[in-house]
Amino acid sequence: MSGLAIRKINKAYGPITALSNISLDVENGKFLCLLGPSGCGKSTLLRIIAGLEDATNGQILLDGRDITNVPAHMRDFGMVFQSLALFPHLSVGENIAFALRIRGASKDVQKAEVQRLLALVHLPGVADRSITQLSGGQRQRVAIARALALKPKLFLLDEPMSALDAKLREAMQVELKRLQQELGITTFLVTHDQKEAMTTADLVVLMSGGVIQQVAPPLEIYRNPANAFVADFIGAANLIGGRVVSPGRVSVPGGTVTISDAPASGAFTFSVRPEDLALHDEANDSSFFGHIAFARHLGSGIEVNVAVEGMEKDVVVALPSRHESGLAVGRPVHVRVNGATCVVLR
Amino acid sequence: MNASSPRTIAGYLPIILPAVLLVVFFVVPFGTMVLTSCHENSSFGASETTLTLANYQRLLSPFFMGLLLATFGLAFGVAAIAIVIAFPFSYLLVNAPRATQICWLIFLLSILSLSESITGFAWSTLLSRTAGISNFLVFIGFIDKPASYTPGLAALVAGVVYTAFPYAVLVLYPILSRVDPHIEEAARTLGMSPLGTFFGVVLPMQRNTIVTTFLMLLVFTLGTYLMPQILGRPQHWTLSVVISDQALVQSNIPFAAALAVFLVIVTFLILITVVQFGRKERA
Repeated sequence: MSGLAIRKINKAYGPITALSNISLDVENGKFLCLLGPSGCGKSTLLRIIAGLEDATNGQILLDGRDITNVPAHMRDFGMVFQSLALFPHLSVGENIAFALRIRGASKDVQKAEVQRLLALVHLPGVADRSITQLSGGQRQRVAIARALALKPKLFLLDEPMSALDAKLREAMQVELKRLQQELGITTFLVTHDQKEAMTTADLVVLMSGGVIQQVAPPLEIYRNPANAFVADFIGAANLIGGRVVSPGRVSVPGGTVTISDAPASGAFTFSVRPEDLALHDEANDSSFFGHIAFARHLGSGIEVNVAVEGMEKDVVVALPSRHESGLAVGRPVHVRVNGATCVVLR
Repeated sequence: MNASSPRTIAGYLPIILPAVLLVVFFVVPFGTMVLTSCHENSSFGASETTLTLANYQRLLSPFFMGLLLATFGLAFGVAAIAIVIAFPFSYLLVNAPRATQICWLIFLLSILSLSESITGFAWSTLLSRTAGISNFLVFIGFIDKPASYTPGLAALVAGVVYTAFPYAVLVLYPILSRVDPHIEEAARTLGMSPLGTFFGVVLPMQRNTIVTTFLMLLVFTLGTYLMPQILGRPQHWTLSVVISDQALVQSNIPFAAALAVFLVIVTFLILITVVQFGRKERA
């Protein structure tokens, strides 16, 4: 098959397991995000793909060829590091031409490539500058250009934007996605920022504790989280425990709600997004009762915490910004639940 | 940077103490020495009041020029050997496990705690015919009969490199340990082999560090005084040895002073040249 195949990769540091039984198939040209909390093994997985670290066991195949034991410098993958790792003693142009120079490209070819790559990352005319003369965002672009100089088969990025401020980071995310689409290059981006993953990825690989929790397109992973961890990690989610009382009818603390795909019987947990809940003064056939514990205006919307007797955590409800007043703390409310938006977790 | 000078005298207060110390303990003694060097030697060890450049003229003889050459030859040689060993050593040390690093650093610090004369005599014994390593070489069948390697140039260089080496590592270690480890990984993902990365990225990146460390070693070795007497032959004696010989044995303080002033000036000129060289290389 054409693309990257990861087969049962395990990685242990002494007694500590960093990755366990990771398998993943990636078609050429896809943009993948390895997403997860710090320490989940996402960076280790990327470093194993880059050849900077050896897997304890398992296999990596590229277009059907086993590259597990190919050293990093012979894989020809482009990589951007969290610290960017630009060579401080070289100019911008020399940094970008580094890979070409060590492969013996002529000065003219190097120069032309540097021009092309700097234009590609929208940073023309800085080839002769020193790295220290560039801003953080410009260094980012130089690091990307340097990694792309080889026209690599795989483009690997290890949290490259964590040092940028929020606004610049968002602009760079969009630009990175455009660049990837333009070049059609298979890309792995490691991040702990779910918004970054949602912006850029074709496929999100959500990891935790050295295990892949779910692999799915961003919207799919948001709408249909595979388990409680995924639901909680991606966006805000209310995880509510309920008990089936009759087919499709679920008793929850403070009321009874209708969830069509609830299990036949017994206790289970479902996840529901804050924006899929609504607040009303009257109950209906799918609602539960609580009191407003806290409300905050976020500009683009209002976030209301509702305390429900019998639930450990407040239920979070997101309301549109123009929602009328009446959100005083302590006020009794009914939270209406649309069963179609609930995801049953197993 | 704020380069404006203080407007009131009180603004200069913080630098008064260092300034006074510098004048009292450096400018005045050095001035005295320059003055002494321009006096004629009298038999009492005190000098007359007429000023003369005779001491400096005496320096221009082939003997003292040879001495100067030997001194700087030794210093350059030792500095070069020490850094050629110390740089890869520090590089490997930085990448070694923490416990290994600590063990080595403690060992190097304990070398520094030894006085130069103890180190010198230890090397002298180690390289001697009766108790030295040549006996071991005979034992393993490497040579036929025990030989003495001291006194001699090789023994001298070994001894001085041994004392200079810990300084080199202690200067290089903190600098190398601050280098972003991802830089080497970046070079590797761009297609450089591990060995190529060392020579193609790590060394060029540390050019200034290497020049600075080299200079420090050079100055350190120029002042070496005991080792040449313990491990070297008279032709290996450095200016420092001759200065002390002139001052203490020959009681010719003015000439010793002239030699010392000469050493300071030549050292200064060489430092400037090397720094310029380092700068040019960088551009």
